[in-house]
Amino acid sequence: MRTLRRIPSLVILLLAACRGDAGSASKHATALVMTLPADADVFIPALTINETSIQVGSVLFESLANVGDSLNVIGDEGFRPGLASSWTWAPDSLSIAFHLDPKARWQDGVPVRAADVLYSYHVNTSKEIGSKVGPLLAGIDSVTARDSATVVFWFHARTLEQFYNAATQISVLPAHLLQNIPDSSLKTAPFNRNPVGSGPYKFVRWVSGSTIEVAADSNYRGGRPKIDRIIWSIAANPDAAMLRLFSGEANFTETLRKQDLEQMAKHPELKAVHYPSMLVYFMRLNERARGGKHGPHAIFGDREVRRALTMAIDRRRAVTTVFDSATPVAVGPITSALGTYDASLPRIPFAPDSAAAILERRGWVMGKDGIRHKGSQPLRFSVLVPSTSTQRQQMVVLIQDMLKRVGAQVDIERVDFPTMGAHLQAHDYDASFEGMSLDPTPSGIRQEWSSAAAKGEGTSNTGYYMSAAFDAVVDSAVASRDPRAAIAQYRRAYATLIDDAPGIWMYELPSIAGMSVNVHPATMRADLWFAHLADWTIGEGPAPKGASAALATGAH
Amino acid sequence: MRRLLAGRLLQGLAVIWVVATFTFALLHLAPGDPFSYSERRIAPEVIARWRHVYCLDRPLPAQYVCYLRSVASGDLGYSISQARPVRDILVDYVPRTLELMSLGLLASFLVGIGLGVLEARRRGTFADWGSRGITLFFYSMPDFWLALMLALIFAYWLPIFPISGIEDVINAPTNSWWQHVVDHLRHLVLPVATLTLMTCAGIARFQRAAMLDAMQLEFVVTARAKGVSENGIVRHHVLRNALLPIITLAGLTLPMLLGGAVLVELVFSWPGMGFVTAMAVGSRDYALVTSSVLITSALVVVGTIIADLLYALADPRVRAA
Repeated sequence: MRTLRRIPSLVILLLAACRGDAGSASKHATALVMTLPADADVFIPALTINETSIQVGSVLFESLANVGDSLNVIGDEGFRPGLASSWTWAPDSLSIAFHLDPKARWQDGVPVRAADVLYSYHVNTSKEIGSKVGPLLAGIDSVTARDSATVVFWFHARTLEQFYNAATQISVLPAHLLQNIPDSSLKTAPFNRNPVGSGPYKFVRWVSGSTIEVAADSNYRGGRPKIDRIIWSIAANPDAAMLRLFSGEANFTETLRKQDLEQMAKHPELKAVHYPSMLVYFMRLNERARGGKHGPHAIFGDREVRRALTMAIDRRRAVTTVFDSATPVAVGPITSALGTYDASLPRIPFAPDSAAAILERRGWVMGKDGIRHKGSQPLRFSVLVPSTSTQRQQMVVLIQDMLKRVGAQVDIERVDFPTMGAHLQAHDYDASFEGMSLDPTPSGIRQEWSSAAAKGEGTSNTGYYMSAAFDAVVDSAVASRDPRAAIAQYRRAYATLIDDAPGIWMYELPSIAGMSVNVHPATMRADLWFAHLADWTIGEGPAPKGASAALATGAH
Repeated sequence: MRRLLAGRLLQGLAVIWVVATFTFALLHLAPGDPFSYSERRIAPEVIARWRHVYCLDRPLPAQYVCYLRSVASGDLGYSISQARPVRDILVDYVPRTLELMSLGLLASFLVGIGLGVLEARRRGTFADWGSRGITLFFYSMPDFWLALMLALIFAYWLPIFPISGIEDVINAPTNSWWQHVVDHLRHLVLPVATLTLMTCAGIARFQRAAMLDAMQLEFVVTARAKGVSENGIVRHHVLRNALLPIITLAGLTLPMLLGGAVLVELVFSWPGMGFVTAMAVGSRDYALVTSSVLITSALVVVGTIIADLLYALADPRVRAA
């Protein structure tokens, strides 16, 4: 009986004793265990907007060429060969011939052919499939195969970004495995659970909600990647993901939050690595009456009032309070990672006295309650802020306090992301505190802020910013054939936008990754930090728990 | 017995329909839909097409009819966030929750009944007070906090057990079957311990009361008068009678465990129904959320029916009624 009573505790002790050894790093097999709080959906890049899928897809599939680390997207300067080893421009620049690398092979051994590129172009432009990439390829008239190793992209017109769109937006898929599947069934095809690519890593396994694993392809034409295995370890939420990093079950996480950085200091086996981002945070001001009704917004319909409210906010102080003095205040709707960035762009200064004077001049008179009124309209508005973002909420509280000093009352509406998205799409808000992930293409600003974007349904210019001057300058930049002139015009467009204050630009947030000290990342690009995963290395030092046990069994 | 079963099944179906309808209504009345995120790189025409494909551009009653029709035909729909049929997702995730829950249920009842017997036999002693105090302490703790504390102590400060997940991601592909079993059991310890600590207090108190009631019965007094040992009395007379009400408690504990499993799965990243439902709610994945709730309510209904049937089998008076 006594022995029976001891069984549960014996089982627990036995299980505890069987734990994996967090021993030294492998000499023969290295594993990058990345923890992140989201599972993948499908791995065909054209079909997904899921961040985890995009990361996995980036090591499985390739495009014809890759953007260089300078992030230049104008012409083909700085681009690195991908599946195409070289390319030739037509004299009139209306077509580009891509010559496929003869060594390029699918992981099942079949050579990569022009037919694969043609099929991939079809997948990306098929209306039945509805790829997110489709609209970006609108400038391409057609794609033809000159021979089995050469594809030609034909364009409607010459643009500065035509090469970027053709060479990088299409991830090439194996036609021999997919072309018999109807477009409508592509998303549910078994290929999505067991993909075959041409990239540096081969798909190994996917345990739903738990693990995705890829392994280095020894036959990759560019040489075997330096890390043997990459494992995406799915956690239920960011806190659970961080616990995995701190407990040693993972050795990489792409994003550290402020509270995580404080914990990092207690872990000498971990390091924080800063890398540039394309994220800019700002408070968008809706210039039209709530709900997309006709007529200007009672407060933000007036350009001078928008500028006055911008002047009332000490952005440097707010950013330093919430983050630190090293976090840059945003210049405008751009980040320093963009090629068209200009730190000298004129900004609306912090000048609370001038702000008060402008508001007074525009008819907003201070009331006894400390709030300004214009007739019966109080200077009061609400700001949407995502309930999941502590930093943004802190920032809005500071803005609330600063605007109160000039007689504006701010109500904070904390909502989840889908709710925030619904309010934005219905134009049913006064102001919203948003993070904008920029595209490396400068022309992307047209999609964000042009009058055409404001008029369309479901567009991102939800605040109805419309400026003929801005539109004209951006159109000129997009149509320009001279890169220097185009950059100058983009900068003029930024200046116009900053001056009109359709939003209050708050901060650029450099990303911070957390990783074991022995993980040595290659360049982490602002647009895709994982672009060079195949060049990352893992040196001597602590391995994620279990790594040494894998060695002991002679695995990999 | 057949009438009892038929009645319970009809009640169960009604409950499931009401739950499904409420879930559908609540989800669709909440602002936003699966495509109302702030992803700016997707052209509006693409989003409009997706909305059309998934019937989200239709009026709510039309969507409801569409939903009921597909559920009635066994089609649980298509998960937008995971890009595959909900049926396939449930096949992956439901067994994990059932595994966690059944082990949690088993451990809770073993520990709860054991403690209840101990407390009843040593009524009024330090062991009785101590056991009740400790179980009450765990019972009164918020489940997520209890899970976090266990993770902090046994996976972080004393790295004995894995902090989360269902497998050692490094070794899993090369583990032999028994290594796989041991590894999986290690990952189960903390989630099951949380569920057990959460629920065993209630069972122990229930068992203690039932034991004390049974101890007062005449046949126990008779057995004691006949000189049967105290252990024999407890084992052969008191415990058997006191276990009957516990069957009812099993039916009641099931929903509580399922509710607790949601939080436990989130804390320990156990990829079960709670894990996938929480992710689906965040992305307004209507089909997945409604199906998860549907399956969960079905599990509760089935569990309750089984408990009722077991009670009827165990107690002839109920059968006769």
